[in-house]
Amino acid sequence: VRRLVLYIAALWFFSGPLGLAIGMGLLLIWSLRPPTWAYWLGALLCLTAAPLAIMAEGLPSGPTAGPNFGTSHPVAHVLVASSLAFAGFAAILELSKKPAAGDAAQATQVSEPGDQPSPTDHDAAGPA
Amino acid sequence: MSVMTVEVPRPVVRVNPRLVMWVALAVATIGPMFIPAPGRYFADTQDTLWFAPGWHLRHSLTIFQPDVFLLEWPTVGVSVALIWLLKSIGLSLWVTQRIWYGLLAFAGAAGTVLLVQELRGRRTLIAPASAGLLYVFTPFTFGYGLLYSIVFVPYFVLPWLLLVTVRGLRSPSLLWPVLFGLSSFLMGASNGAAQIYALIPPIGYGLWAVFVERTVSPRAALRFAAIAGGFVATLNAYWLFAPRLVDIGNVIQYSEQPKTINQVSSYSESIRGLGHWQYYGGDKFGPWVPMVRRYLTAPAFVLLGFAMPVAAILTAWLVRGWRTRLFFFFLAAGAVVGMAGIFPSDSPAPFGRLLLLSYRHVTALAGLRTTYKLAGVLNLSLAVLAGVGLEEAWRWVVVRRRRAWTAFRQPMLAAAAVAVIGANAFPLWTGEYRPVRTSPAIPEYWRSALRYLQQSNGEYLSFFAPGALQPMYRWGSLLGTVAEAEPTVHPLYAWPFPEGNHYRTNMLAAVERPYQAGVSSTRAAVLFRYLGVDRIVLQNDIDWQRSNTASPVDLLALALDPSLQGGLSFGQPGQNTFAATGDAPPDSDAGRIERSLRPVQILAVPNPVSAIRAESGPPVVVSGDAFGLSAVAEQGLLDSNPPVLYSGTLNQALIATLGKEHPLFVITDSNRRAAHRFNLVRDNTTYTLAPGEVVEDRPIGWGLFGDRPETQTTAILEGVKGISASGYGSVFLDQPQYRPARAFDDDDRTSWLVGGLEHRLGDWIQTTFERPLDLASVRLTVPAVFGRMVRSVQLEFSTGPPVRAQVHRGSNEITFQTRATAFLRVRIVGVTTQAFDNPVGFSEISIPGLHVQEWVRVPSDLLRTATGSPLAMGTVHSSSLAYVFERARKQSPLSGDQELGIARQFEVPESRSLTFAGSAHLDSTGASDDEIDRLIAGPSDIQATSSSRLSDIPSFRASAALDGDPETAWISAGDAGEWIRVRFPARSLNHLVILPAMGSQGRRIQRIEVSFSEGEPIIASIDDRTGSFDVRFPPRGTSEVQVRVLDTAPSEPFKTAGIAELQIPGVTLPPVAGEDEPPCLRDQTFSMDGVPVGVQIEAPISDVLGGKSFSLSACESASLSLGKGVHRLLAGGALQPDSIRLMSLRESPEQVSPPPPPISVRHGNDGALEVDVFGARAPFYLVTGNEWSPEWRASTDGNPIGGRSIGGSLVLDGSSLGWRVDRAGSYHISIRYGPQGSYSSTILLSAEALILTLVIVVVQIARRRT
Repeated sequence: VRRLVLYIAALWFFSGPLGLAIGMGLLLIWSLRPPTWAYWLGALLCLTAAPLAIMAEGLPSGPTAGPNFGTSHPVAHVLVASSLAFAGFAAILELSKKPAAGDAAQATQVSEPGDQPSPTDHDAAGPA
Repeated sequence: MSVMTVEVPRPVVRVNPRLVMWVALAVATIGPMFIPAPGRYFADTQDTLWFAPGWHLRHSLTIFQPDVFLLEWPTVGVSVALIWLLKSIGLSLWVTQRIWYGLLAFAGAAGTVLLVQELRGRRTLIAPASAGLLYVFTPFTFGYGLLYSIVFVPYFVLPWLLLVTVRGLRSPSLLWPVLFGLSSFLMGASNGAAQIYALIPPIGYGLWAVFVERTVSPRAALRFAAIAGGFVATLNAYWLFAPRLVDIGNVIQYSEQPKTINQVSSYSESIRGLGHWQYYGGDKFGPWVPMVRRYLTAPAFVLLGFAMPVAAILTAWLVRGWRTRLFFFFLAAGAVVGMAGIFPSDSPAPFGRLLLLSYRHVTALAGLRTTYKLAGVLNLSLAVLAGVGLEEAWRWVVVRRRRAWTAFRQPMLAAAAVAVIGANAFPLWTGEYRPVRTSPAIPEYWRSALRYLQQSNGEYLSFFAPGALQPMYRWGSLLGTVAEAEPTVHPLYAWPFPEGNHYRTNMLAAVERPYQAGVSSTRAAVLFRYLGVDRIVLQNDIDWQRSNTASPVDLLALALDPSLQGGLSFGQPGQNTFAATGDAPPDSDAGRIERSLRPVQILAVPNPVSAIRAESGPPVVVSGDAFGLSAVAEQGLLDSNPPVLYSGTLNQALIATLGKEHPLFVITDSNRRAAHRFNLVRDNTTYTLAPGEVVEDRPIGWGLFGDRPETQTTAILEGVKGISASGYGSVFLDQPQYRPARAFDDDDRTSWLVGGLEHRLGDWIQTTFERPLDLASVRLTVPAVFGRMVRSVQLEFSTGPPVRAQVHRGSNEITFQTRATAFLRVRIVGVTTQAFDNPVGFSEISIPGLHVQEWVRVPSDLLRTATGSPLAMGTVHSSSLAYVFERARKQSPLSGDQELGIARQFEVPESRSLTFAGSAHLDSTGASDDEIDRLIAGPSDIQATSSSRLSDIPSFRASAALDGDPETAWISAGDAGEWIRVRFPARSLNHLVILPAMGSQGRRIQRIEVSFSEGEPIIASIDDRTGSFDVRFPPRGTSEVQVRVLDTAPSEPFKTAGIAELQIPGVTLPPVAGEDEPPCLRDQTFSMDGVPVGVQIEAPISDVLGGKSFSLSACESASLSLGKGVHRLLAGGALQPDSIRLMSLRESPEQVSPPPPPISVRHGNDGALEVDVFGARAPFYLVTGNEWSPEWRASTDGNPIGGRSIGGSLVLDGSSLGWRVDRAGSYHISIRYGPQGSYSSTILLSAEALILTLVIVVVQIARRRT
């Protein structure tokens, strides 16, 4: 809870009322105790929707976009802010867990069983 | 016999896939650079870097740069060295440039490849290669990086910095922190912000490794940081510890500001690598950065622009077991937040507010306001994540290839990766990468002209006109003027951006005024001599519309200046001097001139003086700035090239010392307190502001003389406490002719107008009274302008409810319940709808009992400084004194005058007798017919006036119908409704004869109405037999006859009317002789402290009526006696003054000042000057030609010149650094720039550190191999 409160405060600090609103949304979602992957999914969905929002809010038709392009696409701005907030929270949740055994060795694990060495690996070597 | 067949095994060619990857990477990064616009030069960072890298390198050793185009770039030698090497082996300019770009891109990609391999602990292909390509091919590379490739170097060094950090934290070897320092050295010193931002990932990774992953001990991290920091500091000491703070301050104060920088940097724009404000702007010629337009406008590119961020999120989510991915995610998220900065700038988040606060109060942090440069951090994070994600996805697909239904995923994945990389790199492979500023080879005529200037130059400078922030030529564009391609011609040009201590910028702006503002010039050579200029290069091939500067026609002001001499021209007539479309039509005067000019025209300054020189003789001390200096020169007071000092730079001791040299003190109305736009060379200055007044957050003036209020010319409002408005004129240009005070000046010809090219309802104008007024009515006059105008207003008061009212063109009386109010604010709440978005407002806001007069108060610094020192005051009392006032006129040929007259408040130190002189012209636009008659013929009891004159031509005035000459006539600007009126001593009349003027189809007027001061009007029709009106009526006494035109002949093509003769028995105004001088003018239009001053026009009447400028003097050569104290001079009316000079000469002894001593000058390699003086007999002034800067020191045999008592160095001749030297004999003077010593030391330190670094690297690598 303390981390979440700090995180919401950080969101407010960096994004103002928008960050606070997103933080409140996070709080609400967090109260439902969803798994970590749900935050990642939320981040992904928000980010994927951002270009669609830009197009929906209008692409410039003239030769220049104009100085109001940023402020005239608020939904895209909010979506990306939400995406970063969700992903950031998911990352914090992951960091708060104990690192996996493979993490310490900096080795990549493919989560499916039956992994084989990749044909793209050449001269595989450990850290110098 | 058997034959044995031996099979020779075929050699197996094993191709090293990593080698293939590196070769492919090199081809992919270097090759495409050659595709766009082969043969053309892309304007990049600074022209001298490319055209004269060797020259640039030599100058890199000097911290003080006399050339304006080097001021910001003396310390970029590291990068330039490579460019110089490439050019030295004979490569052409464009090939050199493309190789440089390719090497940068390859270096960036290679660093990313090695970084990914290091981070992942394996040498794979897909992740490193894709990350490398994704990192170097981005919108930021094409929209910003390659346009400023020297500033962009840190972007490509960034992966290397992170790489050596990762290695260094894992290994205790000395090699890695040393390499870190070396990498930072390779970033160069071009910018600062980019270098600082490049340190964020390594620092962040260190913290991550210590506190999150806990793979590195704090001790090891600190050890690495300490060693690396030490090498960074010493290798970069040459720019970290000896910067020119004044130029850094200029850049921070006058270049892009946070609100502009973060205007478009929303999260959604920043995360796709855009958000830099320049990408979104443009002008009528197109976008500023066309290379990124497709990223903004094409849906496919918008989608693909989010591919990297989406891939990064997927990687951060799904690639388990590699915790560092979260570091890169946080790095990317932080970069996005940082790039957004204070967005939205009108209501920033607390973080944004903190940024603004820190920018405002900490100079070093203000240098980091260009947050778009964080794109490097963002792009690297996204590229690493996306590359790793792609490889993991590839592995995942390969593992599942055995399942048939997933077989298509592999090619799809490859196609997606290629599509994203290809989309990001599209400007290269499609050849669409073409910056706005690009050029083919410099035309031959320019090469000839530059060769000529090289030959003719020695100790002089060449002035290139006109100036512009970013000049563009019709044949192509460099980044600056073409002179930068050949800097050895010692070019000088007016760059509007303030450089150094701004004296030179101010001086060059003053030099440019005649052709930028469209005012006449007769003594331009005087200022050019002071600048050390001997040749003036008129660049007629500048695309003046795109460059927003003076046209070739405007430059005629210089070509026709009688003080300059014609010289050589280069190129063919009409070659690159006009545009095929959009310019003046070929048959217009301007069109003919443009087509007859050659592209380069060189004028000569007669009797030029060297930029480095000795001067002597009575100095002229100017109170004001270089615009005042220009005005003083126009008065002929500088014809003998006397030393010129600014009173704003003098102290009491120096004023006292000057007494022996019999100076002339000149107080001008220059150095006006006004806000400037330093990105424009014209229409860039507000109206003269009141003391302490500011305009939004715009910089005030040039900041000369420490911005002391007494050195500035300011406005004073009499009758009200203040007048303010929400704005005025256009938001894009300064139009002081529409300033708020214009609505309260009792002059219907002037207006406060606001909102040009905008739809801004709610604009307001407010006058604050000196004390609360009981107000019950207001009269608003809406000007008759073409286009839209105010339709409804809301009056607001300090007490009582607001009042709404509809208004129409002309005068509108608005009454309301009486109330006592401290102010009146008139808010525009409705305008008429028109296609043309002209500014709207009021020509007059009349408040009963209120009269407002605007005065301009001239600087008082001379008297303020001298007061308190009897010696200094003694110098002022015993010296000649002059006041030179100039009417503030237009700032471009098409704009309006800021002032219609001269209203000045000035101070006289003691009772003085002053002669009066000036120049003026007939204000034919504003003068009424009877005012013109009074001006040229004196007062009369017969006054003839009219509703209008055709084109305001004075000879078409009403009195032309009373002069008994049918060849002259009153001609109006319209037809029906126009009138002519004659007032005379009352007399009895019973008939009138009116002879209409001839039109092209016969008599113009068909029917008239004649009215009198007494009795009913009479309507009359033309007598077709006589062609006149014979109006007969019963006798009546009258003192006025007015004839109004009712009908005109419909066949006439022009809407004018005219009367050749209006015969009123006994009423005539005999014509004046054109060759006579007008009589003495003595009325309130020229007054001193309210008392009329008799003014004599020194020109024949024909010249006056012809619109020529003429001289003024006091009638009967009388002088004005003014007592000690403050005085007010008011001049205006039909006789519109352009300048006024009041002068009080003191007799000086008949001794002739000895000439200045001969000197010889040697230039040191470090910018120092060694001057040998031969046989000095009296004090003289040593002028160095460099712009003044307080850090310069001069000494003779180790003794400083001009000690503390007289302030050391001086600003001489408008802008130059100099000294007053009072030592006789022959001796040597050493002139050195103070910070050069520490700069040289830091260069040495950096060089030693570089050698040490290289030795350590070689030794460490050798050890590792053994």
